Amino acid sequence: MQSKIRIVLFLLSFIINYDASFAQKRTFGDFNVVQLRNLIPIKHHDEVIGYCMFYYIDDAKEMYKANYKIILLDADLNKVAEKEIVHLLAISLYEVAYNGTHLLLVFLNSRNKLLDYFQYDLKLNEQSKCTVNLTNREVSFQYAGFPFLLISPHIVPFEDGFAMYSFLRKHGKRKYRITYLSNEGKILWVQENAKEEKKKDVLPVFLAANKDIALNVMRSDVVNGFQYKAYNLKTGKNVFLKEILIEGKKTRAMEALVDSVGNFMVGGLFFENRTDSIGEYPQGFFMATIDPTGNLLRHKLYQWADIQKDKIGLDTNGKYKENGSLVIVKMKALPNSHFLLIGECLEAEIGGVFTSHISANDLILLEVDQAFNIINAHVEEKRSNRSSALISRSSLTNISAFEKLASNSSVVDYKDIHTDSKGFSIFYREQKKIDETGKFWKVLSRQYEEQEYLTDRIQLETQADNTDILTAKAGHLLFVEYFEKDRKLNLRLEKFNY
Amino acid sequence: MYRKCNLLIISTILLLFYNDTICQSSIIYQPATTNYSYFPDNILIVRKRLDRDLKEIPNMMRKGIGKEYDIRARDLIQKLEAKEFMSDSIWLGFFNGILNEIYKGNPGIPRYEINMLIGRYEPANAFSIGEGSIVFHLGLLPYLSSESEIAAILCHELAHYQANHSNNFIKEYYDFLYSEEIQGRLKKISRSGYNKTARVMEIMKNMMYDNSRHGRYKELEADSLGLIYLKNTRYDSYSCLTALEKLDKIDSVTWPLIPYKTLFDAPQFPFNDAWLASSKSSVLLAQGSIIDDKWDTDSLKTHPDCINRIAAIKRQMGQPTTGRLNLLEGSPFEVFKQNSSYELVEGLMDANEYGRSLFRALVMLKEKPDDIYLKSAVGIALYQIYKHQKDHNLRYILSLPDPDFTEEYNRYLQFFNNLRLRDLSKMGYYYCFNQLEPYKTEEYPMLALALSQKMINQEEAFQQQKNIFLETFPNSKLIFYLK
Repeated sequence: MQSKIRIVLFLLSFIINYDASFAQKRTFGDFNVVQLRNLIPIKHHDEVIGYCMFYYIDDAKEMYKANYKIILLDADLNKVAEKEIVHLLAISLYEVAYNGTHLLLVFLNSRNKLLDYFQYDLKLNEQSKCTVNLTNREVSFQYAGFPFLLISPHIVPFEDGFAMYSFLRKHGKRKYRITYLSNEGKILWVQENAKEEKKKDVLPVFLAANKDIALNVMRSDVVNGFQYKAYNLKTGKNVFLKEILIEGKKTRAMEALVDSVGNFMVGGLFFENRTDSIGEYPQGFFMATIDPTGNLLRHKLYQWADIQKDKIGLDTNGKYKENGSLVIVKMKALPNSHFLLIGECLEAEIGGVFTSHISANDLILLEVDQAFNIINAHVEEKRSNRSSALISRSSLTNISAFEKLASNSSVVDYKDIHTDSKGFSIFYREQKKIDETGKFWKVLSRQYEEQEYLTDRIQLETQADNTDILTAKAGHLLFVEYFEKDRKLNLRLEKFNY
Repeated sequence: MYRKCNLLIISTILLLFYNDTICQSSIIYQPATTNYSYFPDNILIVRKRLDRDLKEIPNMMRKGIGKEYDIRARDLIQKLEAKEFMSDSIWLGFFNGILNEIYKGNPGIPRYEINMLIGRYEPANAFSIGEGSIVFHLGLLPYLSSESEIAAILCHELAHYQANHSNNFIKEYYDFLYSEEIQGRLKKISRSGYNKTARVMEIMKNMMYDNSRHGRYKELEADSLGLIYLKNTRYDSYSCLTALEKLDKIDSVTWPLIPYKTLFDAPQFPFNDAWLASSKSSVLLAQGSIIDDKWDTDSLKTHPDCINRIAAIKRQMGQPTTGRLNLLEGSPFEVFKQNSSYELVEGLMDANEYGRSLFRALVMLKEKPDDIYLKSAVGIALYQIYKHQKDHNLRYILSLPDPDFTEEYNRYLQFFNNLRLRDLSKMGYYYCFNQLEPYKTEEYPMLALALSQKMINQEEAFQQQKNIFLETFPNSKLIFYLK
């Protein structure tokens, strides 16, 4: 009898849904009756403006279907909208994109092998939906994916719609499909692998778009893809698909931004011009400007050994002191049109037969201005974090293996970067394992006008059984706490000091 | 003890207090004193009442209802332990003076079962807990105009107690949950495999609508009985209408615009307009809106609209009595009304709610820009915000902007959320230095100045000022800020 009453009372808390029990913290409803499946930050112009929560409520009357609830929160964790939907069992919210007026939610249904795209307005009124059927292998492809697919968006929001990138596998070949969905819910065009791409087995990763075209870099794990692909946003037709060599070196872009006249400023890594470059370690990084037709306007190469010798002192193979090889984990275009490269020094040693021990050591930051000069270099010394990774002995010799590791958040310590017109802040994990001091995060900040770097240490003391850190609005990070006994989820914004 | 005071003694004390307050308010406001024995005495009263109430519950319902009584008592004890109520004899004397006038006209009210508590809380509210305690929030006082309006509100709460509304509500709730019909329905839902949540929610919805409907009826009943009580006093019975009219308008009261630039611009550290920038975090909120068509919010109201209550009272009132608005000698109402705003700032500081305390002090400074107590309260709260931000505990004292808050309060929250720690420290230090230095021998300014040294990491200067404070004010309740 008591347990029933408890059910009723718990439901009451769910109806009320969440209470502001503490000032900068929200407590959400009970998990006896609902389960949070996903909590995904919503970004607009690279800034967190809210979160999308996806709950499973209970099974629906229709066979193989369930009741779900979608809740939208703003960046201050205020509820903006909520909606209940009935959908197939075993779905999870895969990705959320926002273009200023509309939301696109992607659900992956592994049991029925579907990717469902739901387009909503901000009151969560459904505007349109479309479904992509997957094969078994494609489901695992979506889940396991490939490092660069996991870290790149599948939906790119534009003012008047969304470009949806779906990655498929047909007859042993990787395929991609880009579908442009308008804000009115109409599919304007669909683009799939072009004939000239078929043998390359590569997939596009979005870099940047001006008002007419979107620039992508073609990437693959099988061969090092060095091609650039630009398509017209109105028609979906290719504007160019070409390899861009700089001083005879192959380049692979990591980040791009659009300058005031619509050219693309691109930054990334460069390699020797070898055909078997899969296992090749990059020789350094490059900066270049490409016009909308794919012509190289200006460029600069930076060999590892030439970068700020007095401050950093890398060897020709990108090794930093005894702290391992520099792996660029993030390249970020800053609001002042500079580029910031964030690298971690990773050192690998052989562990078991299939595993290796990886130590993540110091962070290295390089800031490049619009004239392609390195204007700031900084080494942030930090405690070494050692972890095991599923990587074979033979793979430890090449950069691709390290890049795979870099996409694995349990190996690298870099977590996120916040930028605004005044400066940037980088989150990283100082200590990964829970020991007597607990785990904590650090924030490394610099204001453009002030040359000094400031470090803030955030000790996340909690009694929660599970915790997670998510990106948040400028100057904050979101700490997610789950209390198993109370079946309660707390979302807490932590303001950092700089 | 206070109930036995006669009106004359109270009036004499109030008159002294009145003059004293007027004299001191032109210099620095002196907050009400704390009587430390008041709280254990009251905790004992609450415990005795709990024992009494538990004995009166029928055996078969003792477990469920007794638990609710116990929760209610523990909650009140917790608040008493945290000293969330006024214990100053002058303040208690003022309210008990009004109560005595009500008792005098209504000998049927069990006066020795009633315990008057003045909550140091902001929300404009008063309520009867159900076991004999009547709580009147300080935040209600600034909205009222006379003793008789306080009397009208107290009569309403006494009526709730007399009609046993609170205890009846708990009993009805348990009767509903344990009824054969509801338990049967719950069992059926539990056995079925689908849509459980929606079906249980339907039961909940009906229960809540039902409770709300009963709640509204009980409010009208308390209004009616409260009016009878008020009419039996020498107070103006028409005040129950004017009080309700004021309550009706409380939600539409807006805070004045706080002039941050004027307050915090310092020659040594100029104000940066970017601190006032609005956030992009509410981009979604600006465009979206909560859709919740499952609940009829009107049906959930536990209080009828004030307009309906006023109409009902008018029907019952007939010819208003020609009572007086103020009876206590010296008419101290206006002084208590004015001081209640200061006491709210002080009470919020004592409750570690520095974010709200700072907001209220800044709002009051708009009207009283030269008030040294308020400036000191701002300095102390700025230090607390600095300290909490530095230690990553800001969430405990400063909310995030919320659409349910007023526009001006959200503007205030945004301002402090925009401030970087290094800006906050300099802004706080120079504010204290420029505003309070001439008053550095006084208790509150001296504390604010000492704490401001910590904001710029001047540990030695802080220690010096701390020692001076301890020597000058060895019995000050503010000493804990310096530990």
